[in-house]
Amino acid sequence: MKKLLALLLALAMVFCLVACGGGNDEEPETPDDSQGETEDPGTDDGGETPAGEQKPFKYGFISWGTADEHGRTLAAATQWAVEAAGGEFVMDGSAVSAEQTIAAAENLIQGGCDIISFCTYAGEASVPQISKLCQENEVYWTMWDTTIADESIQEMINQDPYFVGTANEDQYSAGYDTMQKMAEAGATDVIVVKYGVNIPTCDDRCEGAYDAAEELGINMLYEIVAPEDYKAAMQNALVAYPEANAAFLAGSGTQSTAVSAAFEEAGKSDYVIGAFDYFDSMGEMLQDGSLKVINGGHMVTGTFTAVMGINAFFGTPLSEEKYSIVIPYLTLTSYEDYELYIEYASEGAAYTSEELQQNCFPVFNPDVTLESFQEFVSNWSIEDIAARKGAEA
Amino acid sequence: MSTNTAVRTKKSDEDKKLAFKKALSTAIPYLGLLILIVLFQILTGNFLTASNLEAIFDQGFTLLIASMAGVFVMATGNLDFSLGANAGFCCVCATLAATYIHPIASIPVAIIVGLIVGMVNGFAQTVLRLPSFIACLCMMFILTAATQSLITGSSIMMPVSMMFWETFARKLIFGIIYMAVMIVMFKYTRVGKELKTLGVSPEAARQSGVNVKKRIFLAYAITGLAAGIAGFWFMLRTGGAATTTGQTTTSDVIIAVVFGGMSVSGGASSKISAAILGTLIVTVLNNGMVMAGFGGDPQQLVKGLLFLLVIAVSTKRDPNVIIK
Amino acid sequence: MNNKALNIVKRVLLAIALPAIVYLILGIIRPDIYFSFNTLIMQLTQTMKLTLVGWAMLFGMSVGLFDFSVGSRIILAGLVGIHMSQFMGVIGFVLGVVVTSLILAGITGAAFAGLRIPSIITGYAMLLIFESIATIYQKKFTVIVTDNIAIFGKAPGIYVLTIVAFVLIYVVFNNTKFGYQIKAIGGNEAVARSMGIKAVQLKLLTYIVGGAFLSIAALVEVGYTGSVTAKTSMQSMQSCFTPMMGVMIGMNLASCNPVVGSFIGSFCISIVGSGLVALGIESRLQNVVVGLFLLVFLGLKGNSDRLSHLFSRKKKEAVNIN
Repeated sequence: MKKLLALLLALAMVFCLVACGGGNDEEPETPDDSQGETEDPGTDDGGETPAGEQKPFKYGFISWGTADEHGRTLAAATQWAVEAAGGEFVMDGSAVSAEQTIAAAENLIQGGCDIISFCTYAGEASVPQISKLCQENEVYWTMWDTTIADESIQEMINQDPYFVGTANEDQYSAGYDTMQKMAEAGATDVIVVKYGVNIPTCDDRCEGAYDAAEELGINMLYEIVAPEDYKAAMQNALVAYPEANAAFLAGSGTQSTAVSAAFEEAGKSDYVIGAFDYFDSMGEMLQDGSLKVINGGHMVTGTFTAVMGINAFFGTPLSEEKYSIVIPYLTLTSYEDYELYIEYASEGAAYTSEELQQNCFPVFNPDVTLESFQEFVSNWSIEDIAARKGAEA
Repeated sequence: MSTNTAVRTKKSDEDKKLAFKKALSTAIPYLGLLILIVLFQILTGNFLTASNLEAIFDQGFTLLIASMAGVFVMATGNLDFSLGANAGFCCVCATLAATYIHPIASIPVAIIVGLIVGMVNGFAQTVLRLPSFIACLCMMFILTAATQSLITGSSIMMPVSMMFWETFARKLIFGIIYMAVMIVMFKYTRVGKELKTLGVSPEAARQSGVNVKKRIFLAYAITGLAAGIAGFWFMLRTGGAATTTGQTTTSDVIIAVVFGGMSVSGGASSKISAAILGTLIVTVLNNGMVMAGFGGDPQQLVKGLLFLLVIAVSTKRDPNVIIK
Repeated sequence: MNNKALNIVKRVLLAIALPAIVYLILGIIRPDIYFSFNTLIMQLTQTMKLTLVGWAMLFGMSVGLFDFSVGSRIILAGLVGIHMSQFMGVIGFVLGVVVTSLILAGITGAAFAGLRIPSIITGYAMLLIFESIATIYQKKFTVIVTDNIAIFGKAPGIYVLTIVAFVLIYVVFNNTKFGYQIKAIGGNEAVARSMGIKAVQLKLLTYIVGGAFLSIAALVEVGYTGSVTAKTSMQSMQSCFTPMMGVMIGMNLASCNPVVGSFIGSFCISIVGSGLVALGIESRLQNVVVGLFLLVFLGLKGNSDRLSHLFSRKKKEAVNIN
């Protein structure tokens, strides 16, 4: 009897929920409209206030979490831009699958976010769904670390007035350059280590590396894909391919220590490691020469997508068209590079609020244009950081 | 005579205490849900809006399907560890079928593939006598590898025309029918009752005339079928299939069912309402925490602590029961 | 006497047969690689790393407990250890790892025994909590592995630790009351309880003893890879499946002790992993191959009576009605 009662209660609750949800079909506008009215009065139509203005906003950031260096700095770097523009930063760090990315977008929008940004880490098939969601709720959105490969998806989101654009790194060139630098350091026989299966970012980096290798006459021996134990996988590869003298880590730079250990234990002392994604002990490895090239610092894709979304929300979009910006990596090849990075860009903001306001937001500096912004973005480099910070100090 | 009454009153006191405890442990998940809802409403101010409730419904939908079926296997005291991988694999198969055969084909393909996987699981355990845990774990590895090799790129897309398949009304109607079927099957047919008996003691079940092998096979088949259905809805919701689809579903189901007040050791405490309630709690928790601005690092910590708290208060502690 | 010796030889041969056959097949395919001393040594090192985690789970698994929080505990203990090593060097590292590992094992065990909830659920809850603590910890303190810690992960450090762990676990498992009670409960818990064994306390103890062995595994793990990274969203769970399969093979090798069996099982797994690379097949299929292998192995074992029945039936067919 009690069980039956409990069940009835559960059912009642579900029906309650369902009834509430069902009512939504008829009056979807009312809650959204009132929300819009209280939060951004009169600015929804760009026509009424032509210049655009700075107004309070909530910025929703979706990622896979902050356990790794990239995730951690990304969230922080996005926050710089949001706070520089006077907004509130909210994040959901549980989006490890497509399903959870959509849920995160829904939850952030329900939480009152005016702009959201995410990455297609879990595949791009879900992008149209998020686009639909954002259009329904009149929320601006951007994607960082992303290029859309599928043309039909690209076409679809181009129709979406709330989609602003994407920011990503030039993966191919970075892979190409890294392989070139590795060759200069003496790499001839390379083992490629992929951190994931079928991840476009990873595959693009590798493609660049393969092309460079072909031009330079470097042998690409074997591909390790998403191993559980990087060191064991590397050891096994070194046994099968004893001639290997270099490793190209297309991501998960933190595993450089494991790969390096595998080389050392195989009795090799003269090896070359080139990697992507910063990690905590890269300074030591750059210093003792076990790591030759490391690409990272791409947390600013978060900063710059935030700039793009916020400007659209302020009514001062940098371009009427959708646009994507390309961000260079901070490539470190020496301990000196590393020291510069740590001192000026790792923990604190690489850009000050003033720098961001003056170079990115037309509401603060009317001279900002898409071209000037793109130039500002492409200046991102170790030299640029040194110059800016040196001048201040 | 007097001692007898004394014993009797003492006994009835104990009975009352037990009944109270039982009622309490049944009520706790409901209370928990209520507290969460009230708390989030106060914190966010707009938790109980129609649009947010619809979002919660959307997010909990696939989990509800999977966890209601998961209860069937859990009632026997086993776990289907391949559930999530199966849903992911079915999602891939459905997406491929929709792309290369016909959008409609995705429905039978998802269901049949899921059912076959579930039946293989059941077959491995009943006929081949393999331990449930290992058989499902191996199935998980195999399906994950298959999913990864079937997907080119990090995800594959379903035909664009299917984007309009997923409407609230369809989900609602399907959800109600599905829930009704599962509830009736678990509560009012021999299947559910016998699975519960099995969870208490397979030997006792056998002696009372239950065809143990047939029932276990059926439980896995039902779960597999549901994984197929979940895979189909996964496809509609995420616009296709990705290598990560269903990756967390197994854990989500287990966590949801436990949140709902059922013990994973199955047996008498098994109840299908736990799946519904647990799904609601988990979804409300995820949704509310992000809305209230706790979506960063603390999210998982709070979830873990709450989880521990819920099991601490809702589990019956009988010293004579064997816990594994 | 003669018979006994013969028996021992037979058992040893049977135990080694499995990995030997796998190794031999690979050797025939790639003789240049597998018939080399260095390769064998490397395989042994990888095996040791797997086995140490496996041994930490062996106590629990022997009494039917599956603990998925093991991976997150290694990460958290490793992080604290590395952090401590910045103040107190190697001693700080060892102290940090061992103490943290024991505390975490104690908490997990206490949750299991105190709340009387199934081990898988306890593992899930603890996993969620430990993962987030590790993430927050890593954010607060930048931890960098120093060179001297690497000694635990390579020869001779890893050999010493493995041998020490082996001796300890062998003695604990085979020559103590604790080990005897574990076997009794693993065999038939109801009977063991009626004999007066306090099952819940014993299971709590398996967590703590397991935690002690896990600290050795964590020392090796950190030294071996040279870094520790926190993981979230239950991703640390993946790392416990492979050692777990090693233990499962070990527990089912009838001819030898589970302690030795776990080592043999883990050895098979690492050979399969390396074999796939040698054959140019993607190494992430390792778990699939091992899983299938385990299924066939257990299938044959679980059905040996039926198989023998099947073979003998032909002779008896005329008489046997069944």
